[in-house]
Formats: sequence, C-alpha cells, structure tokens
Amino acid sequence: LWQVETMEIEQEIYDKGVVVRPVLSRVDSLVAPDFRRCVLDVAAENKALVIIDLINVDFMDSSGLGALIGCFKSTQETGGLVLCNVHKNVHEVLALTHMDRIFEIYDDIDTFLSKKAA
Amino acid sequence: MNIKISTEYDNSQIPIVARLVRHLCVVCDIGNHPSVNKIEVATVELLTNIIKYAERPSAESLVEVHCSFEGGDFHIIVSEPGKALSERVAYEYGSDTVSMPEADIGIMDLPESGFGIQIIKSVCDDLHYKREKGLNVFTMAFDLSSVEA
Repeated sequence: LWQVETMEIEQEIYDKGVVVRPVLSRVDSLVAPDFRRCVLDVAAENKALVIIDLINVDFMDSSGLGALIGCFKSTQETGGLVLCNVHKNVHEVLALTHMDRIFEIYDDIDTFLSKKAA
Repeated sequence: MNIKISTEYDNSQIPIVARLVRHLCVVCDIGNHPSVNKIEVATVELLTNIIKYAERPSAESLVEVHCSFEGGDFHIIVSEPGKALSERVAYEYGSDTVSMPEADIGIMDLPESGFGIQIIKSVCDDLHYKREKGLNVFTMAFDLSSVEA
C-alpha cells in the first residue's frame, strides 16, 4: 500500500517492432516524465514501431495519458506506437477521454504479431 | 463510514491517499463496484490539480481528504487553505460541460494535458467547488446504488 514505484522498463525486439514494457503498476504524475523519456529513447534507438505492453499497469491518470499521447505523436515519423495488454482500469481512462478511438489497441503481443503477419 | 486523511502538498503522497480511498471502498464492501476505479482516478486528478496549482499559505499546511459512505453515496470532500481559485477555474469545476477531443482530430493536434478536470467531471455524479472560511473546498459525489457491487 505504501510503496512508491520508480520507472523501470523491459524491452524486447521483434521484426515487427520493439516492445516496451513498464515494470510498475501505476503510470501517474510521479513517473510520467520518466515513462515518456524511456519510450522515446527506445523509439530513437530502434527507429521502429513501438508496442507498449501495459500488462503490469493497472492504473493510469491524465499525466500518464499525456505522456502516452506525447510518445504517440513523437513516434509518428519512426513507425508509430500501439498498445497491448491494456487493463480495464486503464482502458476506462482511454475511453473516457476518447483516446480508445485514437490508439491501436491489441489484446496481447501475440494478437498484434499475428495481425501484422496476416 | 466517515474518515479523514491529511496529506502534505506532495505529489508522492497522492498514490498513497488514492490507495487508502480504494481500501476504504473495500472496507465498505464496495471494493468490487465498477465505479471504484473512477473514484480512485478522480481522487488522483483532484489532488494532482490542487498540489500543482495551489499557493499554500505555509510549509506546514495540509490538504484534508474526508471520505464518507452512506446510503449508497460515496462522498469525497477535499479542503485546503491555499489561495482561492480564479473565477475561470472555479467556473470550470462548476460547469457540467465535458470537453474531450473529437474522433477526427489530427494526431499532431492531440492535447497532452488538460484531461484531469475533464476526467473528474466525467466520472463524478456531482462535483462542487466553494470558498469557505479561507479554504478551497471540493466535493465529489458518486452514486453507487444504481449498479450492484
């Protein structure tokens, strides 16, 4: 209940893009700037589609959403950005702000990869 | 159930308060209600706005979060002794109008901020702001009686 999380990510490279997986449960104002920086560093390094895997994230606020939108805009030149494994709490925030209509959202990485392979 | 939480004007305490509010929902036997995430999000957004924009009178000043659950209504009253909100911001808290980006907005035109108060207005069944006895007082109400927990 009391632990404040710090930003940490895992990264996996596929031929269809690079997966960025935050290893924390909340993307909020405390970690949003670091989250944005980590994602953009990976995008700049790989110059490929970024797949944000939110499997560990069960809470996102407007600061986290703003960081996600900033990354989405900044990656348009290098391949774009999609989301997968979006928890229902996070999806609710995306839906409330109509961002579920903007982001490409996949159930999981396998679904994304199989759709891209088809 | 009536409980009061005091917190400093410190961003790092927001998730702690938010988790406490969620835990209170569990204690009140509404932990599985579909609106619990909305309550947590609204709490985080309101505290974030307060801490970001408030001009607190002293380093010792605290933000107080008073939660109550009665008859299916969950109320969160947040008060703090900072400077009164500007007329424009106070109006925004009192207005029912929710402004979100249109579906056909261009990607580069997407806003990256300003969602906080819009989210609060979207998820609360009632939202009020008033200036009272030198305090900014925000009231958020959630009607949890309409959907089974």
